[in-house]
Order: sequence, then C-alpha cells, then structure tokens
Amino acid sequence: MTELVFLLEEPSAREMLRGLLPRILPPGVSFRLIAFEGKQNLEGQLALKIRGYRVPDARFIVIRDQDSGDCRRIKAKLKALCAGAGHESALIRIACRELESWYSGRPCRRRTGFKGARPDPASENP
Amino acid sequence: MTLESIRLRNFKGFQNAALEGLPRFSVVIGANGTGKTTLFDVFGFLRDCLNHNVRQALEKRGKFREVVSRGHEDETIDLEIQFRAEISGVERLVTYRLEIGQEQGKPQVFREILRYKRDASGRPFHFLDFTKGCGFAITNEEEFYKRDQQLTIEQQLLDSPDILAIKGLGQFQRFKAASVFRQMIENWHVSDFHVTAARGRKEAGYAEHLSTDGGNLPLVAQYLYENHPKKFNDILERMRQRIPGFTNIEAKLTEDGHLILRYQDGAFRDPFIDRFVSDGTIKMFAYLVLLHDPQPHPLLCIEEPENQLYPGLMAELAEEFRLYANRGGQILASTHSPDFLNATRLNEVFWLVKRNGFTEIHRASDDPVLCAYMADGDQMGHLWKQGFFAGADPA
Ligand SMILES: Nc1ncnc2c1ncn2[C@@H]1O[C@H](COP(=O)(O)OP(=O)(O)OP(=O)(O)O)[C@@H](O)[C@H]1O
Ligand SMILES: [Mg+2]
Repeated sequence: MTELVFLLEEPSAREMLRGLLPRILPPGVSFRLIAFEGKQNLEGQLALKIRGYRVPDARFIVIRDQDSGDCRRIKAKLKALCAGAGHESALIRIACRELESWYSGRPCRRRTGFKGARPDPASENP
Repeated sequence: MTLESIRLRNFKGFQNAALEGLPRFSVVIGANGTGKTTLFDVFGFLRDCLNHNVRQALEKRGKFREVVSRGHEDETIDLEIQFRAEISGVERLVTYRLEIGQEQGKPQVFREILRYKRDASGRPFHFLDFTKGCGFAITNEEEFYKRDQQLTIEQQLLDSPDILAIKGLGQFQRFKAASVFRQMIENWHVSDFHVTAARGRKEAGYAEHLSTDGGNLPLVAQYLYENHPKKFNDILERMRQRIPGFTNIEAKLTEDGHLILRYQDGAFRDPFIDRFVSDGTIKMFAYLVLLHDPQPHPLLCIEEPENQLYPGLMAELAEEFRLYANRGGQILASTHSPDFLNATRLNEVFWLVKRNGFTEIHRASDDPVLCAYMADGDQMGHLWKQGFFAGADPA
C-alpha cells in the first residue's frame, strides 16, 4: 500500500483534491491531504510535518501556487526544506496559476498535472 | 479530590464510551453534536439525581426514553465515575457506579455501588451497594486500613427505589467516600458564559460564585471587592495586562437598588457603564472572577471559553485554567478554537468522534502520530486543523 501525502497551501486545494484523487488513483494507493493556512504557514510547517510523518514509504507531494513569486526559486526553497527533513525525493509542484484552474482545465499548463498515481520525476515542471 | 475517569453506557450519544486518565485541566474537541455538552451534563444529571431523584433528573431531560441511547431502550443507563480522594489519611481510587433502568414504566436505581481497594493487590471493596432502594453501607469506613478489622455493615431501606443511596443515607460524616463524592457533585459547576446575560444592571444582592451564564457578574464583583480585596486587585492587574487601556472596574449601586459595573479606560476621565464596554473585556473579567473564586469548584466545566476573546489571549487563558487546577480545582473545557487548542498540551486533549450515531472518545496522548509531532515541537491546534485528529472532521 503506497501512501501519498499532499502538503497543500490552503484548504480549498484540499477540497479540490478530495474530490479528484479517489477518481484517478489506482487501488492500493491511499492519500492524505494536509492543508496549511497560506504560504508562510506551509513553509514554516513543512519540515516538521514531513519529519514526523509516521507511515514508512510515504511519498510527499508539495503543492503551492506561484502567484507573483519566481517559480524556480520557490521550488528550490521548498525542495531544500524537504531535503532538510530527510525527504529529498519529495515532489514539488508549483501551480503556475490558481491551483483550481488545473482541475477545471482552464488556462495554464495542464501538463504539470499528475499522469497517474506514481509521481514521475521525469515530468517535473517547469 | 481528582476526577480520574468517566465511563458511560447508554447515556444519550455515549452508548459505550470512556474518558480516562483525566489531568486536572483537560479540553474536549469534536464536531457539532458529538457530545461535548452531553459529557458535561453527566454531572448535571447526577446533581439532579442527588438534589431530587432519578425520575426527576430524567424528566428534565425528556424522560428515560430520550436519555437512554437510541435503540438500547431495554438496557440500563450506566454511569461510572472514578476519582482519587484522601479518605482517613490514605489516597484512594474510588469508583461510583450507577445503573438506571425502568420497571413498569418507572425509572429506578437498579444498582448503586461505591467501592475502592484496601490495597493495590486486593479486590475492590463495596462500601455501599444498593439495588432498587435496599442494600447496605459500611459505617466504620475509617477503620478500613486495619486489615483484620471487622467492618460494620448496616442494612438500609431507602424511602423509594428512585432515590440515590448517597443521598438517602443519614449521618453523612460516617460515610467518607460517599461524602467526598457527594461534595464533588454538589459543588460541580458549568460555565456557559453569555455576555448578554452578564451585561446591564442587576438587582443588588449577594453572590459568591459566578452563575452558569454569568448573569450575576456585578454581584460577585462586589462580593470580591468587599470581602477579598487582594483577589480583586489581582484580577484588575491581570485585566490591565490583557486589555489595552483598561485601568479599573467598579460596581456602582444605583439609587433604585441595582448594581452596575463601570469600566475605566485610562484615556478618559469618566468610566464606561458596561453597556458600552466590549464583549471581550466583559468576558475576560468574568473568567478572572470565575477562576479566582476564593473557593474553587472541585470540578468546573467550561463551554467554549474562547468566544469573543482575542486569539493572542488564548495561551494566557489556558495558563489561568492550569493555575486554577493547581489551586485545587479541576477543569474540563470544550472548544472549537484551534488557537485555544494551540495553547494546550498533548496530555490535556481529548477528541470526540461520532460513528454510526454514537460517540467515541479518543485521548491525544494515546495517538502515536500526535505524540511524535508534539515531541517535535508542533502545536495541538495546528495538528487539529491539518487533519491529524482522526475522524474529528465532519467530512
Ligand atoms: N438518546 C440519544 N441517543 C443517541 N444520541 C442522542 C440521544 N440524545 C441526544 N443524542 C445526540 O446527541 C447530540 C447532542 O450532543 P451535544 O449537544 O452534547 O453536542 P456538542 O458536542 O455539545 O455540540 P456543539 O458543538 O454543537 O455544542 C444530539 O444532536 C443527538 O444527535
Ligand atoms: Mg455543546
């Protein structure tokens, strides 16, 4: 049983994924959604949450809006936080516009979405 | 006296649940309708049983069929309260057990027991054991520590099968454990403070303790001011630290015999009458009055203490609760506030989960995930919001 742990910037992302994930994840993959209260809170709590996570082999996926920041810089920062918590392999996804627009399939880059249950490092954005 | 555990069967939403290992300050969280108020009402129910009788306590709550858990109408309602108390110089873990059933449509005490152990290894000894109005009580409890002492057993017949033996026994001093328990139930208090009730002029009178909704706040303030000036000043000092601008409170007697609280802000010459003072100021004052009661309640239940207060004050409020507990009271609070929960410790928190109509009680310190995070410096409120209290969220 693989567990995917999504670390999210805000509760609205959680609500969105709660509806979406059960439909796209194959059997045998469970998930947990951890919603923070904004970017600051996400960055402040990220390492703590990953470090203390008790499920062995859990895979972490951090999702954050880009907003006005520099996509690469944000990503590098989050990556460093995960690495510091012992999970360098955590997958970081920056939703280049509003995360919700992913789901509705409106603008922006849908190719950054998940291609399946297993996060595929080859498809990392950007 | 310290409340140790509450075990419930068929009491409303608590079909089979236990709150165990209670510290002197504890906090219960849970979605709406999971049973926080019901849990507090266990003591209200026991008090009504004690002050009146079991039938009346049930009637007040919609009769037996509304109180007993749905679908379990043919069973008994069982309440078991465990507490630690010093009895004749020895600390004992005492269990009080009450089973209530119906016979020909009439509620009766099917069993009432008060028991504790002579020593760690021994079997619990029944000091009081009644069924439907008749049973026995031990009258020389203080000689219990002498191993081979003959205990005197007195058969008793209560006036009616729906009254509690702990009420019906005469000469209370002789029954130590029963007396301690009775005192806890009699002096138990629930605070469900409403600013609207506390505000305004109140008919002058005498009150030592803040009432449940806080409606007698001016009277208690007056009482403290006159009889416990040191306490009163202490309260004012704490107010000054917490409410910007606040300097003083006075209870003023109006010509027509009413008391009204006036709040002084250092920036202005004339005080504000309480109608024009902020909700949070009044609430903070009410809590301080409640918590600095010269005679703390052995058990104080507080509904949602966070309402109307500035989030930054939560840590201090929690600390006030702990201080009260250190002064000899015990506090059980309910909350919906992550900020307030952030101010609590791992061992202080319990959460309620409703499954198939009935409530389960979980203890944070039994949960390995919560333990691990807290050991790593996390906060209870964050963990709650992030979904680590399994089953706590309605979704
Ligand atoms: N006889 C019964 N059997 C089963 N469940 C009952 C029974 N009586 C009441 N209940 C349930 O208990 C609930 C009341 O719970 P309570 O008022 O203690 O909740 P609460 O946790 O205080 O909620 P809130 O946060 O809204 O104040 C009712 O909504 C009902 O679902
Ligand atoms: Mg309630």
